[in-house]
Amino acid sequence: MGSEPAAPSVVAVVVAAGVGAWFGETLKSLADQDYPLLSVLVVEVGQDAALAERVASFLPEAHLVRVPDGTGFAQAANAGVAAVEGAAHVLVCHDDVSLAPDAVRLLLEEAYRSNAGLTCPKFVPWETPDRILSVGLGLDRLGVTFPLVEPGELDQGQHDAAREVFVAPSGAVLVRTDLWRALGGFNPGAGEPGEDVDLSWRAQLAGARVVVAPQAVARHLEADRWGLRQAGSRGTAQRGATMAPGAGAEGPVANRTSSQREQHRLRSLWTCYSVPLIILVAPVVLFFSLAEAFWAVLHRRSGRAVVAPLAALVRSFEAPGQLWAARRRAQGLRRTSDLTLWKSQSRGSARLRAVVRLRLDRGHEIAWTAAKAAATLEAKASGPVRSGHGPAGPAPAGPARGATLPGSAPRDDLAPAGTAAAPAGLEQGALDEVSATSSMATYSAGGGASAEPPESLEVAEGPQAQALTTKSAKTPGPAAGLGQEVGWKWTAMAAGAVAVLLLIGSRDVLTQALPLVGQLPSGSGGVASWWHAWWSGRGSGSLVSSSFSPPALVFMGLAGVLSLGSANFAVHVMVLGPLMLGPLGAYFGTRRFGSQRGRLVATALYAALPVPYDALAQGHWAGLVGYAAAPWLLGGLCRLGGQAPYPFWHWDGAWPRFVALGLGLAVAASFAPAMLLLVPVVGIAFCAGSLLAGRSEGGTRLLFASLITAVVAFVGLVPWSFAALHSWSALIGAPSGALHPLGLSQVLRLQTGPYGGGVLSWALVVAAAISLFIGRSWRLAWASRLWVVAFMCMALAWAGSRGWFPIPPLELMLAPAGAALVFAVALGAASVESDLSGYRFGWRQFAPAFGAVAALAAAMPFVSWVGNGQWSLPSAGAESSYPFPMASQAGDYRVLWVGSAGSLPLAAQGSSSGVSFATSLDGLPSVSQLWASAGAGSAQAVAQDVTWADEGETTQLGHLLTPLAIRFIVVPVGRLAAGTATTRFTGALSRQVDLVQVGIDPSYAVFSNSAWVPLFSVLAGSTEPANVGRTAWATAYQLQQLDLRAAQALPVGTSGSGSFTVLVHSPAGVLYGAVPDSSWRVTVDGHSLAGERVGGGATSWQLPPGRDSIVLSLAGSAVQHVADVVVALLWALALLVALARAQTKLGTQLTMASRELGAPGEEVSEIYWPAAVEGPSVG
Amino acid sequence: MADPRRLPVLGALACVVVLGAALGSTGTTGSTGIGAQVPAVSQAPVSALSSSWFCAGARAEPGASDSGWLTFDNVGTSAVDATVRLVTPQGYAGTMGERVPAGGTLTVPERLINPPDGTPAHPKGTPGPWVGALVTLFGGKASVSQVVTTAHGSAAQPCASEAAGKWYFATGTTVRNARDEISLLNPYTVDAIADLSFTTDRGPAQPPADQGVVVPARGLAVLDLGAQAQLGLMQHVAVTVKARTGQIVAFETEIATTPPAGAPPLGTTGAVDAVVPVAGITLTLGATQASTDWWWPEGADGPGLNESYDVYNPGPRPARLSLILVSGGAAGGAGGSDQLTVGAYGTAVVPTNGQPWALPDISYSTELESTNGVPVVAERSLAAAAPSPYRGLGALLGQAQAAKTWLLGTDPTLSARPSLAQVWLEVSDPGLFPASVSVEGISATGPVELPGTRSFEVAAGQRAGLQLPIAVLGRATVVTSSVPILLEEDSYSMLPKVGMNLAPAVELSSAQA
Repeated sequence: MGSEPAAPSVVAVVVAAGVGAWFGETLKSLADQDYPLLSVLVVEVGQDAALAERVASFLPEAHLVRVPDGTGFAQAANAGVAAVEGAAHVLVCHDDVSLAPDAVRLLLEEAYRSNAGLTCPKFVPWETPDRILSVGLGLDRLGVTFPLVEPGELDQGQHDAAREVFVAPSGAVLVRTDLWRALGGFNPGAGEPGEDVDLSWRAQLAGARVVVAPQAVARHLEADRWGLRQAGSRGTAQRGATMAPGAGAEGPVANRTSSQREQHRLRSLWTCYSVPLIILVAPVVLFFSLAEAFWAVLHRRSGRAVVAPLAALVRSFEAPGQLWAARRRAQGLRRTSDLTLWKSQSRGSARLRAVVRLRLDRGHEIAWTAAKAAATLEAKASGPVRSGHGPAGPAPAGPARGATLPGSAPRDDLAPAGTAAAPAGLEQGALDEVSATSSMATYSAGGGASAEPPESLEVAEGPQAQALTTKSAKTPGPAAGLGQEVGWKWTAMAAGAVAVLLLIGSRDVLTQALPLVGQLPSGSGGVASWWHAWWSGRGSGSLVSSSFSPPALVFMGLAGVLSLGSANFAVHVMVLGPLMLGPLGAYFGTRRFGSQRGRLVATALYAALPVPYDALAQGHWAGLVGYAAAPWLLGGLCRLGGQAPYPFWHWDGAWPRFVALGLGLAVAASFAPAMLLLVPVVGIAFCAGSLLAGRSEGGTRLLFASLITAVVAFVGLVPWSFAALHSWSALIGAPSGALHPLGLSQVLRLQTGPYGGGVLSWALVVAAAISLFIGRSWRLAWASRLWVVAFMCMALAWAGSRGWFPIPPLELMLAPAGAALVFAVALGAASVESDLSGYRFGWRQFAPAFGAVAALAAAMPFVSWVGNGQWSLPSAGAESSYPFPMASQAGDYRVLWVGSAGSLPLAAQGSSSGVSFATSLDGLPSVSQLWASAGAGSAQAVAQDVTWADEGETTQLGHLLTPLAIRFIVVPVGRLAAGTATTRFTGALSRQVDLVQVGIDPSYAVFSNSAWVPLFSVLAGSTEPANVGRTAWATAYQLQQLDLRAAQALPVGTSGSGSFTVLVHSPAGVLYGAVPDSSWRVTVDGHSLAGERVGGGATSWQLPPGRDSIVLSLAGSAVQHVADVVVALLWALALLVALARAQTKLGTQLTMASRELGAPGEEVSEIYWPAAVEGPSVG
Repeated sequence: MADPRRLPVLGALACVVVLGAALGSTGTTGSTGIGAQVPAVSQAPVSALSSSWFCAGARAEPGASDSGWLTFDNVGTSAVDATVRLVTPQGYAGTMGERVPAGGTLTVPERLINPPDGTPAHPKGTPGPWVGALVTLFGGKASVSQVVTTAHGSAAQPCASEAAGKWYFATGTTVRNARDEISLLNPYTVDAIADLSFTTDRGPAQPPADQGVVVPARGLAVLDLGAQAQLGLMQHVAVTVKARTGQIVAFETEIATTPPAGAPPLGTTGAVDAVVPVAGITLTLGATQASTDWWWPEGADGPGLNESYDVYNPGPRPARLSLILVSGGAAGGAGGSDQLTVGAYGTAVVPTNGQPWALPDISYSTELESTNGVPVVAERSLAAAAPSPYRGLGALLGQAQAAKTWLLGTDPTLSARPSLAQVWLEVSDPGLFPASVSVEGISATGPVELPGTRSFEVAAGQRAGLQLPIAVLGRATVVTSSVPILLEEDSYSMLPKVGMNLAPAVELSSAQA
């Protein structure tokens, strides 16, 4: 050997702390290395008397260095390497890594071959070496690591090519000694975990390469992750798991570790980036920190979790001197520009990508929970099913296997006292079960489970929460697969396709302010105006007074706040958001049906329904809200029904769900009040469907669930909802009606406007019918229920469009029908996958092809609709109909909007002669007028006036409207607005000799009232306002002969509240106020004047002579303010409680699902966001 | 657990579909047998607060050569207040307040109370200034008519009950013994601007002077067609009035003086410089829209009676027309013209005298139908001269609206020498069911029987005429039918100063029948 060229010597520096039985295998692997010039140096953290003996038993020539207890891994490694002299390379190792016999040699060969400064092996799990843990790590530009392999990916040599990576995990890394010394080893200031990121980054700054040599294999136990170290050990034990968030180190430890990781990540940024890059990256870092905090708020995390991102940001600047020194040292080594490294780093946010992916994967898991659990129960139908696999200990990443590696320590050695059960510590039986179920979880069942899910599952509360029992006998069905996997990539692609199409279809709407068409909200007043409208309550604009403000204003205000004050953005989100929210609801609503394909098809078809686009084209915001809410509510009701495949819930334990669903309904109903009535209708339909299908007990439960949900929502909207009880119109909302009665074909195709009229629109009905023909068991039962829901909603819309009874906007009625149909489509897909094989060869066997063609055909029209760019929404709305004059000293005025209710830019305040009407103050309506108010007010008087005009009984309508200060009458007459009644009434208006048509907008007929008088005016002494107390006819008869045009206007401004002091230059007279109620007060010299109702809904005050100054004030309502605030607080409290409870339940369910599936077993609902996406540091 | 039931579900859903389809087909209403495109002048319902009436085409000041009168007929049992605002082309001319007694009639002259500056002088026997009346009736069940009296005859027509953006006149003439004037009245408070287009013997014309005619707010504008070079000395002039902004009311006043001796009458083949064969006057409220069907309850030709149907196609597509004559009763018969084509923006005159398909010496109702769906405007013209005992001109726009209750307004000119006049109520039943028709007068207590009148039946699709007794000539008359009918009042007088008058009735809503 002496004559041979000298081979480079390598020293393996192993940091040992709190080691367990596995350490022997680590030492043995080092001893078995086939590289001859390998020395081993063990750095012992703290004092362990047995360690030296243990090392000696495997490696008699090894060296031992002790460092004080509590020393971190980085410092320990530095200390170890500092003791090394003469070695060309050092191999820094964790104590829970077992190297393959040729690992060191292969690492060294690759280091020379690639001229690498840092070389790392391929890490595989300790017990499942056929899987891959990591082959190095990637890094995004914010310093977040991400794995380069799929979690639990099977090792088939697909990653065995050596390549450069950005981060070499510190589990085992071969480093050139000169480089190590130049870098100064690990940066203790960079902290742990994250020391490997810092080292790799600085190495590359110095011009070194970081390479992975996958032929060199290292098994990694991840003892820190699973909490396997001996109690009391410090230092390395604080390196939390990263690949599977929350696993092994739950609670404060996990959070602390994650927080530290964040801190260290940021310190690496500040250390390694040049100044220009820091300037570029810092705002992005701040943004993501805020986003994470907001995310935590949304998920009801603890306060610590909320502030953690920002705290980490702040703490990253701790010890500034140390940070500055580290930075100077790193920048002093720089041989590579940031631009070069920038290209090596991943674009975008690895964290965001991981979260999206995680959410999608969670959806998959949930989708499979019911079917899998049911199948498991099927196999154990006679008794309780084991659902808990020990304490909350996690399963190892990747499906667990019962087998252990030869030579491993006994499993009881692997489970330290007081920690969660280690993976290998699971009972063999449990492992077998997990293994069995995991094969289903990966959807590789092929023939699949042979079990039919039971009809009903019961999930007990409390301690029995994890006990699944069959409630009823299973249905013996044919062997059926539970479907085949449609990976998250397909899901993401489908979601992306839908999103892209929606964006393309909305491109013109997105780039301009929303026109004031129908009841679309306006952002013209700004976010402050929404809050102001909510707080100030009633104004003078409406004919009817309301005691309480519409609660939707609060949500609009919140949306405005979240939009950072951009009302226009908020309005776009609120109007266009339902287009995304609805399909998302369909995706989640169908998760229990067991067919991922069905879910995707249902999602796509829901996006392709004509309902939202017809609603948008006609400005029916309530229809859009209904579209967004329908699948969520339908899915929620299905779940509360407790019928298979949904778990059975005891009534007493289900109240959080009722509250959660009820509050969700309340939010929707605040925008579309008719939802309060629609949910019980759906419940009734469910009940009827259940009876038809012979499942009466389920129907009753569904009916009660819907009623309770509606009641909860009603209570949630108190006091507004209570006030709305007195007004059918307030409860119904703004009925759109149809310009013409809907035909049967239109209803079946869900067509209420320009979309959905083609032949292909029938395809949805065809696709949804498949479940009725081939479904069995609970699928047929649900298909029946859903079809009855669809038909009932369709029937109501059909009858309502004929004016048989008042109904809310047609799209709102048809949205549940559409949701029910796409749910039925999903059921059809599930039936194809589960039931079809049970039939003999026949026509049913063509169902898959037939259904696929039908689904494709149903989606095709949607593709063509996006071409319009704005969903046929007119480019201009009421805002451009006429340049309404500003209110000025000439006085204030009202605008009377008349037409079909759906075409008015505000909620109807009354109706007459087939047309609806409402008034606004000084031009366009305010956003608070989008919802009808309870109460009569002056609406009856206007209704009578409208009737007289429509029936040709007056040609002096302007005079009749004078007491209401109506200066303009606007009638939407465009293509989407005009109906027979509207056209007739427009003709009637043209016959009024005191009205003059002005404006040239073809979509709006605007009439100016030549007889109007301002909101407040002083009548000349000889002019007497019309009397009141006689019949309406007599009053009107007097009004039409009354000429008030000489009245002196009082400038009171346009505000709906406040006080106004005005000068009256008339020594005496009658103050004439076109206000329908007594909310206005008139004070002269501190003395309040008594008002007197006069004809037509006005009020008059007799002014005392000799005065020339009066104060007009609109009295506010303290009761209203107090009530609103109290209700808002209670609402927030209830929401928090409900969310907390619901999340707990969801977590329980997910945990059960995960355990049943044999998936990683993490509490996926309790993911700590940053930790959830961090790449494996192989700690 | 057994599978859910499939058949009940499928069956129930199928039933729902079938039921929905069945219900969807209900509710359709049958046709009344007549197009209802062109509304008739109508009276406000019984409970009306007010109604507005617009009268033009007359000249003010009694004593002038031709002067106008307003007649108010109150069908109701309560007095109705009225405000009459008189306007001239020069401006506001005063307001009159009137009260129409319950069930009574009021006739007032259109006398200028405050003649505005620029009002032409009107010595006795010369034409007075043009006048328009904007009448507001505060209450229902009342209507307003206007009467124009001249030395060449008189004409009585209901005033307009609403304004419109378009008006059509199928015929007029500006030959040398005729004067044709269009009166445009604007009842609204902003100016209206109107464009007029014509179809004359030489084809379509749009004289610049008739474009952008400003009709002042609540004012009047009058155009003398014969005074314009492009329109003068034309045998036939059809007119379209289109309001560029606002809405207006348009009347046509045509006065023919005694024709020169030996001059060829209008309609003479190959005649040059033809004239209106007899002196007379017609006052016509234009049609607000064209229609594919026009009806006239009465048609007649015979010795001394020259009848023609003047058709105007105001649209860009040629119209193919068929004129059908139907006579009821024992002497019943039917005839029809050959297919008639009227070109785009063209006119046609269809005389019945001497035509092989005509029904001479018997009365008939007439229907003009557009067989290709192109709407037209049509007017019946009638000239009475020797050997007929009657004299004068008559013109009546076709009707396209049937109703059950009609009011025939007061015509004070007939009461001068009733023994020299005949008044006929001409009824046509365009529907599928026979009509039972009654004729009543008005009174303060409600409808009263008119002496000498009787109820009569009109067979489906047929016509009938009732000559009013002398005792009730000129009185307001309410005609009530069991089914919708068409009605006109034809008055013939031997007095040249009264002459002939063909007048439509005013529709009363069924609610007040």
